[in-house]
Amino acid sequence: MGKKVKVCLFILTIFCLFLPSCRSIKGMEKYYLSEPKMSLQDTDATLFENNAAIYREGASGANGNKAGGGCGCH
Amino acid sequence: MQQLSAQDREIDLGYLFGYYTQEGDHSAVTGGKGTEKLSDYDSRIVVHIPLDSTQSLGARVGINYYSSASSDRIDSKISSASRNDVRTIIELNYQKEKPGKNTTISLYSGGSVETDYISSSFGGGWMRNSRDENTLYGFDLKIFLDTWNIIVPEELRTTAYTDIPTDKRRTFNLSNFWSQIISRRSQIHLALDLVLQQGLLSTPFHRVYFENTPVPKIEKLPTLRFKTPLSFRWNYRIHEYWIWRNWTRYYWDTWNIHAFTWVFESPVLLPGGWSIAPYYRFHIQSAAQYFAPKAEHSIGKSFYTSDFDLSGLNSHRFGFALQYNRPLQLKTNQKKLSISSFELRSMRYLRSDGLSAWLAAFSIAVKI
Repeated sequence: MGKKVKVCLFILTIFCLFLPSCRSIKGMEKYYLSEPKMSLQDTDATLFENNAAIYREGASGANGNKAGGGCGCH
Repeated sequence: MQQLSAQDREIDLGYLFGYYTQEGDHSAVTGGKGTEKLSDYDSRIVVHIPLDSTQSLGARVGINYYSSASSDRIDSKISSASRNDVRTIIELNYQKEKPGKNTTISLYSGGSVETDYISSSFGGGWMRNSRDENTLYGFDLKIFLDTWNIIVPEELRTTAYTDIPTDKRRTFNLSNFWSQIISRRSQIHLALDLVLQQGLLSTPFHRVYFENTPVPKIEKLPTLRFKTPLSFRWNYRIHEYWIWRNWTRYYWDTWNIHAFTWVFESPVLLPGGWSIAPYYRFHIQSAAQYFAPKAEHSIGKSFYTSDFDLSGLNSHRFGFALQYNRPLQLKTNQKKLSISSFELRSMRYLRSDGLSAWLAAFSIAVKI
């Protein structure tokens, strides 16, 4: 089995380990999740910082930012 | 249009200022050896305007000023106009929610201009929330149509243009995402980008030196590249005052770059809406198949680069963020104004080939 396929299967396995713990969380139970630092999105300042990494590394993307285009970078 | 309440009519206005500086000794402009000293000042304004209860408009306008010692080596005039440049960016977006179907559609348009590069972009997105708002999934498609203003090194201006197939670059970026609330304290996010780039993917003013040959050529890379980053985020509220934020990414592309990135951030919540968040980022990547250091390429290869951004490397990033997230009402004569958040961020970046960088950013968001 190719290396890429093994890595993808590993990531999907880790992901599936979380699924059995899913249950419907009602509005009043989301107190801990409503904290801004629990957000699944990065702040503007974090996205700006991530852009610096885009210019200095060959890999980019999958973080709410573009993975190419718009600049002469990689 | 449905009437908005006084709170919903508020306009969100944000401002960000960032400063970045780096130093290294592997400039691609001088063939993989030479100063990489660079300073960048970035300033952006973001506006979000609700039109009614389901529609909104947004805009982002930014300007960056940067000075680069390596860009100054494109020609023999040191400290010439090539040393400094300004990049101007504008992006517009529109969102419409369909409450009955729990879906949101988005449209984007934007562009940027700098001395050697002009970009225009457009795109759209769709996402759906489950009825219990525990699951969110969707996709975004962005298309970039870019044009180089080709500048080649001074000594190669009679020969280099035959190695440049086009002045265009097109990028198609499809982002797919899925978020799930796992428990009262935990949520996860999976993202998969599919990116296709076509056109002039090398940088025309990068030099490449070959074994036993004193005369360089300009960097030459394939005109096609496909990238697949896959990321997983897990946020966990370990304690009422302590959060763990984890992000990992696996990356692969057709230039044979494999990369793994991991970010761990640990915000601690303080009284009064404050938080402090130390963080660490680790990145490791394999070299692109076309990379070799200065004077290590053999003549006769079809594609070649000595840009260390495409080399095999690892990097460490240490940082610290101070954030305020509680609405702070300001009394003015004319209108209500409140600060909704601000953030101070500082980061130190160390790359295995010796490049080091430092960044500081400040952002503030207000409601008017």
